[in-house]
Amino acid sequence: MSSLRQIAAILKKDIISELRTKEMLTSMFLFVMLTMVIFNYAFGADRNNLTPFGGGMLWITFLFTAILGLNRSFVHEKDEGCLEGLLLAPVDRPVIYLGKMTGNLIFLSVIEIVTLPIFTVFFISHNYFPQIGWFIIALILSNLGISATGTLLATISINTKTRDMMLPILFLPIIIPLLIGAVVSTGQIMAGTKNFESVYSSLKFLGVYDIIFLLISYGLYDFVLGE
Amino acid sequence: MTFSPDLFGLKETKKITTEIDVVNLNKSFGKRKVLDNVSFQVKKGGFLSIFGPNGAGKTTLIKILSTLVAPTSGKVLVSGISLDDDPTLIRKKIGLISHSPLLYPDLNAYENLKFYGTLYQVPHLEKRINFMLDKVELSHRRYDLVRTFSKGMQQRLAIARVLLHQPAILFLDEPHSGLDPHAVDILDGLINDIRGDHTFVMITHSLEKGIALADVVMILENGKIIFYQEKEHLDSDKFRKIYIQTVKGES
Amino acid sequence: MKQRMGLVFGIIAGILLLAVFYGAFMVTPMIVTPKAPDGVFSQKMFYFHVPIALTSFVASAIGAIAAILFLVKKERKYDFISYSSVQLALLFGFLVEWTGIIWTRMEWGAWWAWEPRLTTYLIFMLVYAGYFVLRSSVSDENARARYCAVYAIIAAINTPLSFFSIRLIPAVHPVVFTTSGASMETSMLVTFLIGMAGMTCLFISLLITRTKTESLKEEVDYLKNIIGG
Ligand SMILES: Nc1ncnc2c1ncn2[C@@H]1O[C@H](COP(=O)(O)OP(=O)(O)OP(=O)(O)O)[C@@H](O)[C@H]1O
Ligand SMILES: [Mg+2]
Repeated sequence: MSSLRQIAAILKKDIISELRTKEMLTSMFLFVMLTMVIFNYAFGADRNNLTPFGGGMLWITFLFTAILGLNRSFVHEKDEGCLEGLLLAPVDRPVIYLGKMTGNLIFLSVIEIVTLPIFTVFFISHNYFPQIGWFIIALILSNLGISATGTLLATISINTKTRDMMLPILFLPIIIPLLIGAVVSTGQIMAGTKNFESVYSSLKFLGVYDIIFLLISYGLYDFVLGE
Repeated sequence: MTFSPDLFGLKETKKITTEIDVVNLNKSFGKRKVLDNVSFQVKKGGFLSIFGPNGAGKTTLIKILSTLVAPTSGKVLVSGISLDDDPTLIRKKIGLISHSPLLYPDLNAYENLKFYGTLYQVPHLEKRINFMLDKVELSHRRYDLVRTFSKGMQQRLAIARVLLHQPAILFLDEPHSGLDPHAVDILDGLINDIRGDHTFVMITHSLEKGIALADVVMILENGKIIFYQEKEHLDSDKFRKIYIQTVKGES
Repeated sequence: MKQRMGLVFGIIAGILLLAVFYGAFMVTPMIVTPKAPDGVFSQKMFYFHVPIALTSFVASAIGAIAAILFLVKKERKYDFISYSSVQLALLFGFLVEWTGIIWTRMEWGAWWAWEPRLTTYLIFMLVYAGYFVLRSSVSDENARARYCAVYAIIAAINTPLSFFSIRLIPAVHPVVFTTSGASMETSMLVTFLIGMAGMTCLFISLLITRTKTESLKEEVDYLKNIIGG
């Protein structure tokens, strides 16, 4: 009970700071917009041709914007020395993990909700609204995996000499399996696949990935804090 | 010249309840040895002042005592609890004023205290926050962002943050730096208020302040304790001489 | 004692691997397929490729197990074992990739064909490359050992996950060395098993020597420090 209150306190503090400065959300949003514009020119095709690649384009965008957010959320703590304040407090380390993880999950989801309609208008010719339920499940499962793994690895990164430079090197190879699951499930739905089999198996895979990495990160977080 | 703590009859003080017990503590960062076989004790209600030149390892020592940095080897007991056994329990009992104020610049004074108070599960938090803000004379700025505070005001708020959960042991790393004379008086007042039933370890570069407040003084140089004496037996001339030698780097 | 064990395993590995060469090229029959009536020479690679591949998984698993032991017991030696094992995982992973690429080149005439298992190994190598970047950018030994242990555990778990995830992709990719259907002759099986044993001995031998080297390095640093270096 008390740990729930502590998790909520960490989350609330991150949200209040972010709503005040809007640093993280602004840069994440602009990053997504810029990437989409670049995609258009990189592929130089109309959206009918791009639809089959929707999943890939979507997750390249979201993954890199997630890295931006993950780094920001810890650089902030570290720069003001506040991470030390958190570490000094008598809270179990998993509480810190869950607090930070939930924050990262929320910020990523907010950006996705805002930019997904734009992305769809830009690149997707098929109307996948009838399958939106499955799509949202795929989105949630993917975000959960990104935040679970990303929060753990961002904490390691921020304690290294190269700090935020380290995160992509550690995070991207580890997240590839989840990325494949995310691309296949959302991509198939956006392309209007008739064969839902691969969507289901991807969703199952995403669920397994999330559970494994949530448990591991929860268990190992103690070891990545402190010097 | 090296002083081993036993020269000063520390063995006897073991009978009195010791709040902080450090035995053969070593700490290296990579190849650099920062603390070299440090042993000392602080009794309950005691006040230890640590002096020493820049880079002597004072901050590192306090960070180890406050569970932030793991020692390379050695035994550390805080309030009878070993660092490896139950750091969370130790964290409940300690407060640390460090070089940085550990405040969130985009939260206001009240939100900062509220945040830390919740983490420490402080009972009657609102009352306690008001009380502490009054004590450090920041009540009128409670809804201002910490970003807009001057350094001394941040330091005062940091003091409020540290005392919020009424820790039994206080670690103060140069707490007077950045404070104007009035704020120094506030801090000294707060320290004197709670002396006796609280244990203090303070790092300072100010001889007067450090000696005035202390029961025991210690000089750390290159990670070694080169001077350790109780204030009642303090040979202050000798102490001054050694201190001045160390900070000038002539020893 | 330990050093001698390393040498013993090394010698055994040498003998066994020579035996595999002999078995692969002199004893085992050529696999004949309808497309290649003269026999598929590149199939000989199988006796090296697969044992190396399995050994690299073993190395990755031992890297993780030693990492867990380090986190639990906090003894430096487990960090050395984990680090050495991860080095070998990367080395063997590289050999897998290399033998695999040679095979694809001989069979399909292409250097790279996104074959699922070779792709898994590419990811495998990228994951472990991250390990070394991480290791070199933390100065405090305790913290370095802890972070690396955590990463070694995640990396090992990631391997089977990436293996499965690649199979989620609907497009069909060619697969190297399908043994299903083709029943292995006794001579082939024996050669394969000798290869397996040889690679395992090679791994053990290298692991012992690497671990020893790492702890010696540590000791040298420690002594330098005492002298006041
Ligand atoms: N995280 C770290 N990594 C590497 N070296 C460190 C780290 N923290 C401290 N050190 C080194 O340890 C030594 C002691 O530092 P410490 O901060 O304890 O000194 P100090 O006595 O508090 O000095 P000051 O009076 O300047 O505050 C210094 O040489 C410093 O470079
Ligand atoms: Mg200091």
